[in-house]
Amino acid sequence: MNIQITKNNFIIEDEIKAIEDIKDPDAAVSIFIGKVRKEKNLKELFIDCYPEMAKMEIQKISQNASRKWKLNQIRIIHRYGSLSAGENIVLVITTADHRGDCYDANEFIMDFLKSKAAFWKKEIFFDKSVWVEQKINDVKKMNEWQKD
Amino acid sequence: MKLKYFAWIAEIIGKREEIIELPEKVKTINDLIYWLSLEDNSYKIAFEDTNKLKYAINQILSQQNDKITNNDEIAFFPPMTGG
Repeated sequence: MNIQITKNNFIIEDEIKAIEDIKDPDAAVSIFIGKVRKEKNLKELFIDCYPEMAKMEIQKISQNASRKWKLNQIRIIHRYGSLSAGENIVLVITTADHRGDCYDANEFIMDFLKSKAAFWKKEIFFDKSVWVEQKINDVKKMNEWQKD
Repeated sequence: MKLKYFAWIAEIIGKREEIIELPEKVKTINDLIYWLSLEDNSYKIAFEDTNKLKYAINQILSQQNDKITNNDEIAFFPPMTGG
């Protein structure tokens, strides 16, 4: 399990290589990349962060995913600071022997990360700034997993 | 005790963290909110709607009635919007 909370961008090829350097290529690799949405008049997206708490929570989410599915590796990078439209925000890589495990685990991690990890987004437009509010649908999606 | 503030809460209070000496009568996060709100109006405004607030004691998500001590790091923030 590798979790990074950083201001720096990531290069997807380097992250895949990092996974393959630890272990021979897994049969199934699922990769999710979240990017800054290109909204009209958006100047930048500012992401505030409580790094120690965010890392602790993402570790907990990853451990829960590992208990639920048979995973080989988890690699997560979440950025904070000022980001422009189209820039990478988050990377979640899950690997397994079978695709079902890494697909489902990847979605599970993202669903919990959105509402549980200590990040806060602020959309800075050319004429105003808005702190993004937690979406009811995101919380619903997370809670769906807890029904299993 | 170290206090940390994030997102719009930090903007309203005008700082991201501070060190305070916890008064003896302040035993819970709820007490701390009440005490800080009496100290300065900016806290009162930031903490006005507790439905919009979340708390952590030493990086663990906590509740308003949870006990605190002078050695704790307490954080105040709105619901998370990561990913």
